[in-house]
Amino acid sequence: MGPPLSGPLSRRDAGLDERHAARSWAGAEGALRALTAAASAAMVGCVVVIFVALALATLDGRTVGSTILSTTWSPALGSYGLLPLTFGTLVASLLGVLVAAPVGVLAAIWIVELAPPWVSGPARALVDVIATLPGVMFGLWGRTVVVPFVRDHLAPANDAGPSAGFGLVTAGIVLGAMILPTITALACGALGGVPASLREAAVALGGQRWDVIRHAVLPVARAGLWGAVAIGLARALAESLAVEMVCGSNPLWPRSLFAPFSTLGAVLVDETVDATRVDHIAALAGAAVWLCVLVVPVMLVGRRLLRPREPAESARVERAA
Amino acid sequence: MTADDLRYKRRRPSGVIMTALSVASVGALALTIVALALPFMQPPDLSPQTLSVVENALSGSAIIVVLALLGGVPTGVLVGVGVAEGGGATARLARAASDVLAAVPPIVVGFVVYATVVLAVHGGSTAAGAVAIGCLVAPAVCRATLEQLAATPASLRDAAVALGGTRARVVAFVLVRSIAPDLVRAVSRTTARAVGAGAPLLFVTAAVAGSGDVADASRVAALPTAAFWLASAPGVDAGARANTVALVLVLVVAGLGVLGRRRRGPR
Amino acid sequence: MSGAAEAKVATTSLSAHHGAVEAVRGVTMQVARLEVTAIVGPAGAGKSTFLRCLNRLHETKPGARVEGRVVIDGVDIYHPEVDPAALRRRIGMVFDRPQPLPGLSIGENVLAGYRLAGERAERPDGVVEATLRRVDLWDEVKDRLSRPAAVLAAGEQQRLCIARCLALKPEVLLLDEPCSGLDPIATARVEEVLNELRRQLTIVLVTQSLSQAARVADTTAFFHEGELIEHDRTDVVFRNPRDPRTENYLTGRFG
Repeated sequence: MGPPLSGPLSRRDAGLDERHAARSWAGAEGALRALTAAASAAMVGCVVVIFVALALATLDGRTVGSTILSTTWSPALGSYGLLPLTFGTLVASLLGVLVAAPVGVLAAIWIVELAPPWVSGPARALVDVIATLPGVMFGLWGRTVVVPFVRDHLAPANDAGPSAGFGLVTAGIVLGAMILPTITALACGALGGVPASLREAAVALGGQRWDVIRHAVLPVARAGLWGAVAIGLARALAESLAVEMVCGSNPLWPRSLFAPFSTLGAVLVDETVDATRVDHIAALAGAAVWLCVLVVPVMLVGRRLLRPREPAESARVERAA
Repeated sequence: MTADDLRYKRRRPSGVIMTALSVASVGALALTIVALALPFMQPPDLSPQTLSVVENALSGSAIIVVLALLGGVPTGVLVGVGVAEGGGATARLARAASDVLAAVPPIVVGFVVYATVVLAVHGGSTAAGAVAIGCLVAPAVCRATLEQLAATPASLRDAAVALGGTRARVVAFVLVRSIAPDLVRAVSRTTARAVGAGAPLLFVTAAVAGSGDVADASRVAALPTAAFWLASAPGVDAGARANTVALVLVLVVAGLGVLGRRRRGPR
Repeated sequence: MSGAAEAKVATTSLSAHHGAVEAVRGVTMQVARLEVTAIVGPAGAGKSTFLRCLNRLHETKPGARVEGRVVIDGVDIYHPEVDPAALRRRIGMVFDRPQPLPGLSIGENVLAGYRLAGERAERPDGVVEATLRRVDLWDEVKDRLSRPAAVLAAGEQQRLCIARCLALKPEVLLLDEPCSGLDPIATARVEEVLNELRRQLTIVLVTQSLSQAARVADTTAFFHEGELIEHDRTDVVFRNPRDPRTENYLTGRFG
């Protein structure tokens, strides 16, 4: 070791450091900070503008606010009951998720854990790309393929008429098909994030294939798999165009699972451009707020679950060391 | 150890059942993907009228998405860098805002942009559309930046700082550069989603269902909204034209999606 | 060197590939019953791959290929009628980084092998205690058996992983650089456990540490570029290496 660091020397060091910091603060560092601050402000500004605008518009409609719990959404009557729309949004999405979640997760398990590598890679690529396809394409598909299919093969005869084939079941099928690739792609990511060494340890202990999946892979991937399902659900709840194209646009209580209905997103699509009265715009803004209340928490929880939990891991290593 | 100890044990039924279920699920997934191609089985409508709609919608989408990327990508990267490197209350707030913005349903963004920009300011459809799509781009880029900065080994940062780099230089020349290839792929994926996003643009772009020309210069067509309006339009040929527009849309989105594929690495 | 008749594990012209790379080249080697055999050699010598051929773990990697014969107790373990999962239950393996199974408590991790096979141990509490005593971990963890295994220090986790293998009553224990992530004190405790276990089961230890091989191994094998260069009693290899490559490695001239 050299001479002991005396007081003056360390102080001189600190002085050097401060000058250095000051110079860089005035230069590139300052510019970077200013830019990031501006970008942050823009990001926060967007969110604030969205919710302030929605809040202001919604407040305009307080005279008809008492009608939101009614079962009638009718701008002509000045009644804006959100219940049938909420029902339509939730039921159509749940129908889709109930099918897409188990199928998506099991398909992801096959792709990641069971398929030979030359299948697994291309399959993941295909699913990733399908998962980015836009909702409007699924709506178009629903209208040209699913609606005739439901009309001809599934719907009971007493639901015949020009709107036959449009309904909750059709929307559930379209939403299920839309979120199935999403759930599969995210589930593949969650399963692929499980360390290979853990799988190997379980194989070395003599586990058969599904024992290894169940005891070594799924415990680690579980949160991510739930995240994948949550994001699929959020995407289904938030979808507007695809549902609008197959729901039949009936904002009242649907007669059956095969009868026309509407959702919060679909009613925004249908009525926004034609809305001129203040109370109507306010009601649509209210529907938009209510849709955010349904979707945003599910999406945030899903994202949180999908995030790899590095901090816990490193904390454990530190404690172990 | 004897040979009998090591002879094949019968697979337990639970494993056999699970394998069967997962194979069936993959079959269902494959069937869905095949079914999605059904509307595109008929030959596309290539009449001059349709092609003019496609051309209009394509150029409209291109302008809107490029503007949205110009605004959204720097914003997203800067917020991501600010959160990862700076920290502090502002950064946390910006990150929360980014997360919430990413979670807001696209149709709600479209509604707000319509209600504020279009109704209040009267016009500026291209700019309004770019703002709406930018609200989708910025949070996605921000999250990608954060994820990749988090995956950057701390030793890289330490080494750069130890070489005497200032914070700004380390961030700009070492960290951002090290994540740049991944970031480009993430932007490509985000662009794919931005091109396909119809709901935010629905009320600010014109319905081109009827004529295919955009008479009102302040209103712009875009691929997803053109497909949507055409599909809802009356007339026998509207459906075929909607399919043609949708086919172009799917090709563009899938192409960008393939470009943005994650590299298959050891992770 | 032990005679072939006593060998617990015998390989004949064993070669192993990762894709196009031949990591192990025609290794013929006998591992003596109830002894500790160390495998040393520079990085990339094929030590780990060789070890992973002995419990048929190598073949689970994409692109992996194995040629030659591995015979344990007279049974060719690559015979088509041999169930790899059943084989791996009889041959314990410990890795360079401890891998307790996630979401399981300390006690459950000891019994993880049973759980993985969908079985239940007879008198599970007795198995847990007896097994943890064999790895000298019982007194440290007996009051927190239901805590997650992640709360243990790295060295304790590694001994837990040894216990998890022992609970299945294996006849062979394979260790792949088990102390590479451990500090000297934790390393010493793992070596104490290995010393306790010698004469009870056959142990094959891959190690980067020559001193560890000298401390615990009855015989030592030197691998170089996928080949077995020499294999003899440890003191013989260390004092009188026959091959110049062994001598160079032992004296630090390459590797």
